[in-house]
Amino acid sequence: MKPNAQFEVINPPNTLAGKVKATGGPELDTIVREAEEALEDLQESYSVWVRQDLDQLDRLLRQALANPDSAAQKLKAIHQTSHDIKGQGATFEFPLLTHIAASLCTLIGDGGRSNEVLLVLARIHVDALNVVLKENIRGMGGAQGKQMIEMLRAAVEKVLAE
Amino acid sequence: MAYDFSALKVLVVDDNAHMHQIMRSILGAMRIKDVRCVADVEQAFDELGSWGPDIVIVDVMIGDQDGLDFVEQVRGGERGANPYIPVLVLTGHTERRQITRARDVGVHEVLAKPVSIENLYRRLAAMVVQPRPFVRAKGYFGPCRRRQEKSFQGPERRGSSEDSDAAAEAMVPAVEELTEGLDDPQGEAA
Repeated sequence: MKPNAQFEVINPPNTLAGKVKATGGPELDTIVREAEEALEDLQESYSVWVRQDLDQLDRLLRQALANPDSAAQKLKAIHQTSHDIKGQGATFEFPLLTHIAASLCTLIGDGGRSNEVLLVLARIHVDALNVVLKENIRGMGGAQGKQMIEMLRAAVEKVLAE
Repeated sequence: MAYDFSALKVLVVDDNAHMHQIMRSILGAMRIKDVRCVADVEQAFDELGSWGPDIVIVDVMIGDQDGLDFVEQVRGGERGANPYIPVLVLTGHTERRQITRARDVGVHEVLAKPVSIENLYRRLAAMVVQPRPFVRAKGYFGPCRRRQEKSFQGPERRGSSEDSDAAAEAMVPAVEELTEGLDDPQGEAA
């Protein structure tokens, strides 16, 4: 690409360099271990948070199914909550929650579409999230967990293609 | 390298209070104790003005507010914000259009939720150790969208034709650079 005088390159002062020493801090493996220990301390709190999130999903979905006129608005809220679950599940040893919630986010998208089939599939996602939490399924849930994720992915793909 | 981050001040902008606790735990393990967490853009600007953090970590969606609009305002120096402040976007919104937009509003780094401790550490280290020059061009102001190159180092090179070369290259779409290391949940499953 040819030089272009319309670009200006600025080297701002690196104020961080004076604050961060290259030595003296913990090694990365120490950081990971201590962070995981600290997150372990939050595990109990997480069980409460995610339970509240799932209860909220249940409530919102019931409202959306009962009143299709308000479904779009409810789906937006469902997307937000499932997004939170997606962003935190794996941090607390529940990657299956992250995957199911990610699938639910994909299904809902920007909330622009709403129909009975989509809502039923959303219901299946929420039921799956509840099962994972109730059964305390850590990790990916083995072959069954992977199969469930694959089935959800295929179903979402099909619904979105219609 | 065992970087000593203990003197850093980090502002976390995320509407989810649980994420605040998660980030405090992880940053604390990095010895970053001076962490403030806010849940909306108004509070974020207040902290930028009065407290002066060194690094901002922000979500793409902050409730109903747009985190990338916020970054754009910061880059514009609105409300006294330091337009050069390093910004790391931490988000579950990893759709390509969001990543592209994050790049275009001038974020330094993008990380996907769930947060990877290792990747967060590496991103923070990169922002400190390999600070990128900023590029001002029509429609863009922010860190150079290519990783640090030697030609950018040192004030004596400022304004040289080589800089112009590098700056022009910087405008080449480089989404892959920003997304390098993104934690795709589907990928983690594999």
